[in-house]
Amino acid sequence: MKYTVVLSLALLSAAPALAMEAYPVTVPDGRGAEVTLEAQPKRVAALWNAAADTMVALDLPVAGITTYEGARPVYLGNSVDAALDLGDITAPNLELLATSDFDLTIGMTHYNAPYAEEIEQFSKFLSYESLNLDVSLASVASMGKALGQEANAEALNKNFVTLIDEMKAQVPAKPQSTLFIWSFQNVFYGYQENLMTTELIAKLGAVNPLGRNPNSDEMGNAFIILEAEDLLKHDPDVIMMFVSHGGDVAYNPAYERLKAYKNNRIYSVGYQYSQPSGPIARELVLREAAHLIWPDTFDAPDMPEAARAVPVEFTK
Amino acid sequence: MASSVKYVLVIAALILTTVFSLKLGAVSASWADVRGVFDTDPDAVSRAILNLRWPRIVGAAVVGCYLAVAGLLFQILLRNPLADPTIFGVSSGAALAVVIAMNIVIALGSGTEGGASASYLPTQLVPPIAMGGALCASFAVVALAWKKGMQPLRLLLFGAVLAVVLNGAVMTLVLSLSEARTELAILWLAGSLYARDIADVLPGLWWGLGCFLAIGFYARSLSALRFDRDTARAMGVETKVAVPVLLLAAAALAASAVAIAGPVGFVGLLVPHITRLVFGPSVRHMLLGSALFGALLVMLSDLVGRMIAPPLELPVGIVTSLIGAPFFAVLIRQSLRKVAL
Amino acid sequence: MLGLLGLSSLAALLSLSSGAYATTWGQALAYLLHDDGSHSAFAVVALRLPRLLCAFGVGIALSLSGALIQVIVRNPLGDPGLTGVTSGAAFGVALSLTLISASPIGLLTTGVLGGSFAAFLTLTIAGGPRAAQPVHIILAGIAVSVFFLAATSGVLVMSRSSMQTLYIWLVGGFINRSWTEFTLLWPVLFVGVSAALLLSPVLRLLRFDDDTATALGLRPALWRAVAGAVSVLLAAVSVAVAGPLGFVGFVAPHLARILISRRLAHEHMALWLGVSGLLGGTLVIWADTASRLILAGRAPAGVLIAMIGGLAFLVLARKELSLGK
Repeated sequence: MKYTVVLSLALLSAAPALAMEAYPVTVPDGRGAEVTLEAQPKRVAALWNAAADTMVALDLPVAGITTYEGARPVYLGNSVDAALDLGDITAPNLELLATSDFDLTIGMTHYNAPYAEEIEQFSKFLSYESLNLDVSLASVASMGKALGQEANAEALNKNFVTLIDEMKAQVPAKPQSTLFIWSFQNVFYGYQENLMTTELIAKLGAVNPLGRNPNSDEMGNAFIILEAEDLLKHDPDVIMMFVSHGGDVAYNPAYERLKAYKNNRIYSVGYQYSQPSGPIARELVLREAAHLIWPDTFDAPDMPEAARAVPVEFTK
Repeated sequence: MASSVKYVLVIAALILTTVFSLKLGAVSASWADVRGVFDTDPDAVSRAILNLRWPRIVGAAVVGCYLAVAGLLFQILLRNPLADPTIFGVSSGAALAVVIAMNIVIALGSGTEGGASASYLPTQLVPPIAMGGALCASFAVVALAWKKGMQPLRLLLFGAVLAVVLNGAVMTLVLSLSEARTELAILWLAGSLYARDIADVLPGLWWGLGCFLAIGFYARSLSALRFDRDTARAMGVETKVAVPVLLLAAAALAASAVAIAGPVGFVGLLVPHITRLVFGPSVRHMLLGSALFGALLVMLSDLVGRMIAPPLELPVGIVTSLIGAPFFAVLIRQSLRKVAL
Repeated sequence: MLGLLGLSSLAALLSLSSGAYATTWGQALAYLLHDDGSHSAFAVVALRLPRLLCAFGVGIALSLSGALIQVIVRNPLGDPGLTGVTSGAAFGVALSLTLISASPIGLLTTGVLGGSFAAFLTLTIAGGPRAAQPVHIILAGIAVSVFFLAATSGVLVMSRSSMQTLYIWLVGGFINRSWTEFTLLWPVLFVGVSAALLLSPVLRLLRFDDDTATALGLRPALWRAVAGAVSVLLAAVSVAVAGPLGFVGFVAPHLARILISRRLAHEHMALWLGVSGLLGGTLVIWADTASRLILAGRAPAGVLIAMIGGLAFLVLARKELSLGK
């Protein structure tokens, strides 16, 4: 994939030999557990999609992966086709996990940590959360260290932070309000600024009409259930919608009064917006969101077509 | 056919099911792998069988046994052939108690970085909490439905309604959690043995032991209690003590089962009827037979759930409901015919 | 009756004037009469109004459905939910949501199909339309209900659908319901209400046991089947619009019976049906308004109805049964 080549070029400077000397390595994961890895993990089960993401970015093979509603992360293209399907992240198949020779399993804390002990019987286990940018940076660094690519992972993080600053400098002065919605049929969850997706968009300089949630706990419930008239009130310039479980966006007459509708700026976006913690996902979210909000300033990024944002067509 | 022969057959079926449950699953295992469980250093497949399948088999057997016996006790004590801990609201009460406890723990534990594991209840605490909920629900149903005695239909209706109300409460609490925990709660509420460890099963075993001791102690009273209270008293049974103790034991058994696997439906309803068909109405046979058949049913259901579409799993509670509901329907038809004749 | 209308209007006014574009009651009413094109007016007329109408309509549909069931099973404890129809409809909708990602019309169709199938199963298990005793219908209903609930969960698991999203629907509510949903609701509602009212003289007679009814020149089994079909239709469309809402079908007719006195309810079936419908509509509107205003939408109306309705059921049923029916 083109962009992994671009990313990898930046990493070629890190000599593979460095990796060998890194072990044994002790890594603190997202739960705060200190896990020691004796040697370079050869087969890794990426229960957490951001882990698969990180490994693809580091040019490491992904041996096992979980799916969301039956599909592997579309934005990773073909890179994870060969990975073993372990089921849904909420309940990955433990038997497959235990007998497929994985050295390391990387999961999501609130889904997989409850049975960490069982997993640790057959492989090392690290788990992280999907929250905001700081957590993403820490997780990628931690995973990089565990995978023997500490320097490269740090480079990924550093480049990304630099990228944010660079892009922010190019953003035109006129602010654009942008709303990100996670939707299912008639229910809209509007993301506030605390969650990573909207945090990235906010860092670029877009205005989130829902603001920041001062009481959001670490579990990321910084979202508001929106009625159609709330959309009307906020009337953002751009609406990005993740339509859960596919299908069309349900039509609502309120849409026609929105300037986003009239300007054709309501987009259905890919799964990476729902899980943006990995290096590839976060860069794609940043670049594509910038392109959608300021198309004259930013080009659309290189990405698999199936993961690209699409203008919404309403079924009436 | 003599009872002892029947017992042998049932136990044989149990052993067969156990053995096949060890062998069959998402990962294909050979008989050598199964035997490899006893090696000093088993290979990956054998270890998976030992660590992942075996606890589930034990859990399934325990859950099935407990629910079946609980159902039997409810049916005898309430003189209602359709009593079942789930239909009845008892399981929902237990589930609600656990979900409330989960919510409290999460509320207390939030704000701590990396405290996610601490947000889950320690396994030792779950059975007593579940039991508290189950008992409250049992009292509620009995109190509501009592009207100079216990009509079967009344009890059933109130139990069913209470179950729905409690489920509504559970759903509210579950929805108020953030999305991630909702998924886990929903999985648990379906009645599932996913990722169950021996450590999850052990606390329930002790409670169950206590219950079985109590039941054994009052077994003769149970026999007399099949008739109405006056007859029982005339037969010399101390109903004032026996009935509450036995009800308590039944609720505790149901709650222990819920503590292990969440609410698994229909086992308590069906198994006593099947047992009566096979072993006849003697209380001693019913108790033993229900325990065995209950274990068999849930073990088979878990096996089906695991085998149906790997890597996916159908939670065991769904399988028992899918099997159980048609059986229940057949039971109703049968009782219809009896009335018609 | 007037009191009920008053209550409904109160809830309606509250809901019509609240939201992102809050207005006064007078202003809200003014908008209804004259839409001045502003966002406020739009919110009142095009967004809140259809949601209200959907809620009211579903309330009427469910309460009539419940009333019909109570007549059919000759038992005041009847509710569409307890006879399997709502679970069957939920199953139908879940199937089409996960397999085909269907449109609202598709959902309605599968909802009606699922509900009808479940009702058919219930009736068959209970011994067929001729022989079905009320007791057995209720029991069979419970079995069918549980079965379809399990089947629905199974479908969700097998289709690897994100559980929470469908769970929200399973609870039942009216968020963002618009004219689309109402357009589906009102024709069916019209047919159902008309049918129920037309049937009321017959329904009066179905109260008696079959022998008496036959002696009076009635074919009870046939009419029970017709009433049952209407009940299923009403329940199914409610599920398609709002998800499986329980208890309205029981509570509303029951409260109606208390309000207009039992004797009147038996004598004047049409009156009872009317009051039940209004009560149901009021209840649902209040639940939806409460959900909007107090809970900021986090607990959909279905949750409130389940808990309050269930508690009401428990209280009322106990009183009812102790009145020595």
